[in-house]
Amino acid sequence: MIPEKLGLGSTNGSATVTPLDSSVRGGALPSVTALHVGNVDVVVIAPDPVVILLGNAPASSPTGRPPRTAGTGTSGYASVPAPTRPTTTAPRSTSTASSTASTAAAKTTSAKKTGPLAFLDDSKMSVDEKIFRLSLYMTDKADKELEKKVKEISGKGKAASSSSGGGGVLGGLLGGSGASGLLGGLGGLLGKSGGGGLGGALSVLGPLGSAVGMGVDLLQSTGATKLIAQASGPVLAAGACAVGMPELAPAALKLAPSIVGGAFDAIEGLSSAAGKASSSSSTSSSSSSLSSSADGDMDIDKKDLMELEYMQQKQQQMFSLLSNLMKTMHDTRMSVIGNMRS
Amino acid sequence: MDTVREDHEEQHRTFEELGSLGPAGLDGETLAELQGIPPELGEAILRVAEAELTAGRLEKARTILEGMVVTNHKDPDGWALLSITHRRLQHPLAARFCAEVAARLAPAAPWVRLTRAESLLSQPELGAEARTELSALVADAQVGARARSLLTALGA
Repeated sequence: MIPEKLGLGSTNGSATVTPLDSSVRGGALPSVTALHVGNVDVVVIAPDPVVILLGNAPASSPTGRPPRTAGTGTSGYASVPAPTRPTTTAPRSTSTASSTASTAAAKTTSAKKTGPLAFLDDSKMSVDEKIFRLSLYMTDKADKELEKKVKEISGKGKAASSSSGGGGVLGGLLGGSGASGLLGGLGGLLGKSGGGGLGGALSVLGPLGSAVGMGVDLLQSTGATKLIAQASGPVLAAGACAVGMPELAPAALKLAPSIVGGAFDAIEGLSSAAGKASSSSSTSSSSSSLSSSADGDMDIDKKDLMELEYMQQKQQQMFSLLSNLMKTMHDTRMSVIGNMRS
Repeated sequence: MDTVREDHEEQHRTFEELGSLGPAGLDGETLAELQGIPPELGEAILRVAEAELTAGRLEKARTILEGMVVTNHKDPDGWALLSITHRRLQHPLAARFCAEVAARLAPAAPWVRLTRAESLLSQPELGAEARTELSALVADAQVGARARSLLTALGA
């Protein structure tokens, strides 16, 4: 027996009473009536007051209260209906706003309408659609940023690899990992040959010198040295006889092993000194270049990876926020539907 | 008994102060005026509340009428009906308060005066005042019969 339903009628004048169809009438209720005044819609399921309002009022009410005639007596009610509120959603504006502020607001509004987020100002679009489009926009934006970052990192990687390749060539010439054997070989050769023209020629020849150096290295072994020293006596004696000086053969046979042994010792000392110097320089240079390049790469990688991770987390958070919002709205609607069913 | 009497005297003083406010104390724009609610709609809602009250659904009637007096605090009928509702809900003090407000808003209205007299009857120490008020209403065409009935019941 109380107003239980709202939302009927569309007149803007004084009170209008509209009888509803019989489908909403209850068994005990003789009539159900919709009453619309201004912006207020009321469905009165108690029939008697509405009947009274229509002019079929009894002489007195059950409580003895005398009926009031419309438009007389009571103060505190509106004599003129309230103006109709606009149905479209207009942006709120304060009356005290200055013209500058309003101009700025207008500019902002126009700027919003032309931007990629212009759909947010569309009054015809539902909230769900707006959230969905915003989600798409944010996802697309984050994807582009991620792609850009990945490209940037890959560009850095390419530049680093090319710079490390140049360093390899130079390092090879100056004692890098690839050329350390070459320089070592040259140093060895120079040491073994005792310097001079052969060393200079070999240093220019490069790989050939290295091969020759390897041959000399083989001769540096102890067994080969002893063999040569022992064989040097008879060989020199035979050589002396062959050249027509047989009187020198006994002396050559006696002194040749000691001379050849001394020569080998001198060569060995020189070569070891030169080898140590070259090997130490090449090792230090190669190790330093290796460590510097490795540290630099690691730093870049860590920083870039952290930035990538941060961007991905940001995207995930935004996506989860919007999807949670949509899910909440969906759940609310479903609960409303469920409540109406039950 | 002295405590009860002191309480009643305190209440009486309070209502006297309320009466001294006069209609000016209830001035101001009403919610009904702001919302554009016409008297016809107020009357319809009062009739709904009255029907609830007659049917014995006192809490519903109270809810409607409280909303009604908030919407238009200048409507004496709303206050009077709320007074009747409170009296039936065994809230004599609230009933008296509402009746006094209604009487300040419409001091000459017979039905409002009758309602005030009935609210006075719920307080035995104010019986004399109630009888005086009822005696003044005996000749009224609308509420005279009920006033006479009440006076008869009171042994007057």
